[in-house]
Amino acid sequence: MIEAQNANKKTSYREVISKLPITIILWVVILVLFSLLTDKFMTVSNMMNIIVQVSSGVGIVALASFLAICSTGVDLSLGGTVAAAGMVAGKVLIWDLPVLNAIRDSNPVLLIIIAIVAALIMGLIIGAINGLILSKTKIPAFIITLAMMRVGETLARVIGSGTSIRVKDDMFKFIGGGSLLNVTINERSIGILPISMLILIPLYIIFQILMKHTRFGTYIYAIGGNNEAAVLSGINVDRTRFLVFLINGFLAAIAGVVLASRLASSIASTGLGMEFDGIAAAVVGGAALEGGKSTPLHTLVGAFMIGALRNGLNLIGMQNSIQMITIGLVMAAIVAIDALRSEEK
Amino acid sequence: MSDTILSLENITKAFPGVVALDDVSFDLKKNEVHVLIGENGAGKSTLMKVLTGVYQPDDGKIILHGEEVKISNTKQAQERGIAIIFQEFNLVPNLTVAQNIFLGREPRNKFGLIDMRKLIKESKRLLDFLHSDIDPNAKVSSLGVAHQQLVEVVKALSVNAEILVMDEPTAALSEHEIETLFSIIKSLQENGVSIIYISHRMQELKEVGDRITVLRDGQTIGTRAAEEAELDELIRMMVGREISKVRIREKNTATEKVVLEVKNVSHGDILRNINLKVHEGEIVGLAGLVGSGRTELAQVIYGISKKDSGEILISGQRAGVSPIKSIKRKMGFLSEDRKRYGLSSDLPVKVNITHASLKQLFPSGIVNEKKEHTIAMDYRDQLRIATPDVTRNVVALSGGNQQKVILAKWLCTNSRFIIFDEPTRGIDVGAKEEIHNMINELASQGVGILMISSDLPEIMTMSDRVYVMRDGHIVKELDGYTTSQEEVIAYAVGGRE
Repeated sequence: MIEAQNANKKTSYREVISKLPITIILWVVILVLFSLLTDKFMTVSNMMNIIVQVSSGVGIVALASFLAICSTGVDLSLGGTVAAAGMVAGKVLIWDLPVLNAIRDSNPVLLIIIAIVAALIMGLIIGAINGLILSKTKIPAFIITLAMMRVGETLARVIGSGTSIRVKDDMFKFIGGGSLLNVTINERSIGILPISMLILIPLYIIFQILMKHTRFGTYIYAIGGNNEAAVLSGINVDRTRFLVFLINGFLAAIAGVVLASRLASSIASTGLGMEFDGIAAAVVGGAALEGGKSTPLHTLVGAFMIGALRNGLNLIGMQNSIQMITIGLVMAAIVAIDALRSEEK
Repeated sequence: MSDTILSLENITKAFPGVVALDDVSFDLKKNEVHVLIGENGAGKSTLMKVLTGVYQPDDGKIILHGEEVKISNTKQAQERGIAIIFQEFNLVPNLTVAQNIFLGREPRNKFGLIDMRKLIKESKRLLDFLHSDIDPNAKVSSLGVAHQQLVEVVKALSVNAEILVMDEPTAALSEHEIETLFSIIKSLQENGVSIIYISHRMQELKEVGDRITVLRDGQTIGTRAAEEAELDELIRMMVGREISKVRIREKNTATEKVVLEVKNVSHGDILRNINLKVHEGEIVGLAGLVGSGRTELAQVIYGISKKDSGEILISGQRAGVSPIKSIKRKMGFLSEDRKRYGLSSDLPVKVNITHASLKQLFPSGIVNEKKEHTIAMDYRDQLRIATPDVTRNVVALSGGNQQKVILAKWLCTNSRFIIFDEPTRGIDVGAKEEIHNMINELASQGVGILMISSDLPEIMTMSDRVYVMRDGHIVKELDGYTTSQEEVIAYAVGGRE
């Protein structure tokens, strides 16, 4: 009798596990593992650190990656766009032009706004080029965005004249590095309402609503699910895909600005590999490369997982190249486990 | 002619190398079901694509309600009250039933967001109209074929279609579901919808249609009132030759030797304790409604799906483990979904033919293209695959010829046992006869054949023995020579135990 009950309990316990998304389980594993490996990991300051790191990089890029993947594309140009947009913002802030100099002296806030707008326009241009080529030709997104990845990165080098640009404007630095509310723990001031987070969260909320409750979102899912059916249902597939890549350019530009601000410099190589972290986050969050799956919120969970993993690996002093290997293997493992689990069902 | 709501006049449409439509005229009256028949490549689908704006005609007029109109895309067609249900279902599997029904035309609230409540309510109303209890919130991927088709019909209705084009609507349905579809068509008709109905199934034309128009080689051959039309005449119009209705297979060539033995096989709720045998040289028909477990049984035998229990033996050796093992045991499998499981459409005919036997043909691992070409040409001649050249891509071939390519693939592996799942679905009458003769010929050469079919005449005219499946069970074994259609249906629907 007792044995039977035990057996019952066991199965129900296993059932609960098997129903949990793999990301949540791995999330817990990562938190526990790094807490054991280093006492620097599970601290308020480090947790906020992870949040800021994710908010000013992979978090926003992951959202863009998700949009591309969901509509059966992949956007490899995101890292390049991040770099180019960040560099444009830095350049405007320090550019020695009479007009800009005048604004810099009279109205520094206006200059920051100009810098941000210029960066966003840069992102929109790259996104528009991606989107235009993609909707007008039959070339796969992989190829076009691979090309634009290089274009973006090189553009950043050209704009920065081959070096990085140091940004000294405190107000600009506040965007990526500042916080609305600080607490003091162990005599250290920790920002618990970072601006970057306050940019990231509304973005995700907006896109969550966009995907679930608007025609545009439904069309993205429809294109990913069955492109032919979408066409025959009178959906303007070309327009939708164009918009996806335009939005992606915009999102990557936001990431570029926030990142340049947090690092207090525009560096052409900052975006390098960011598109892969973004894709990893989206895939870990449940996006399938055949399209039509997952949501922004799932992607956010994936982004924080990648972010926590990177942060933890940094804290235990792992080399960047080994980190890439680890993240790659984790991503492969998650996707494989997920596939096996859904097969079982 | 005031009750004519649509007429297509002198439509011509050419593609590079072929004139798909040559001066075709067609008209549709209010509340009528006008059946359009013709062999594959006769131009039926092209004509419908012209009507729904997918193609633009080179010449000719579309006259709707007495006015000449120009339709440049499907959306415009919808706005004019013309909807089409394509042969291949065009639903988005990852969206819900309701989302699919209103895809592209979602109702919106004052904030510009999709009005979910209205979406569900309207979907429910339309589903109720067809007396369907499908949950509008269910994902389409979770529905069976028949339910998916119903969603297609509902989707078409939701645009307030006055004209509904149905392309081979019964191809994927079983007898029982076809009856449901026909009653739906009747009620659509009563509600003022006119229907253009494309079909290959001769026996259903008179039941569902008011008028029948035959197309052949891009030309209108003639139109007949359904009541007066003779099937023999229609077939003559389609193919220009008589096709016999009598038994295709006259002599049972089965031997004592068992080539396939399935013992007590179960697979979840889908297959329950299945026992069956196929002998060498025998054609065994497997009848049943869609969803009765026939295709799943074929997949378990071939080793694509794993059985939970039981045993599968091919020529006395263990099988049903994996396709690799099944091929080693000299088994072949022609899936019901040719495009998806049978062919690499963008590869040449010759590659498709040798695909499953590369190891035997080229043990060194290097493909001898000359030899491959010769082998493929031999099969082309033997099976009369209509292609001038085996280097042509499979996608350019008609359905019947694609099926022959798949058959050639399994002949190339020297299969001794072959499963045909819906061997002639979507294939025109002439090619159908050829494929039937080939199956018959294979059996007389000692190949054991398990033939799954929803086309009852096919089961009746071809099988030596017939198994009938229902709800995952084999409910009856019948003698193919003495049984009747009525008997098979009775067991399939549960009218007889």
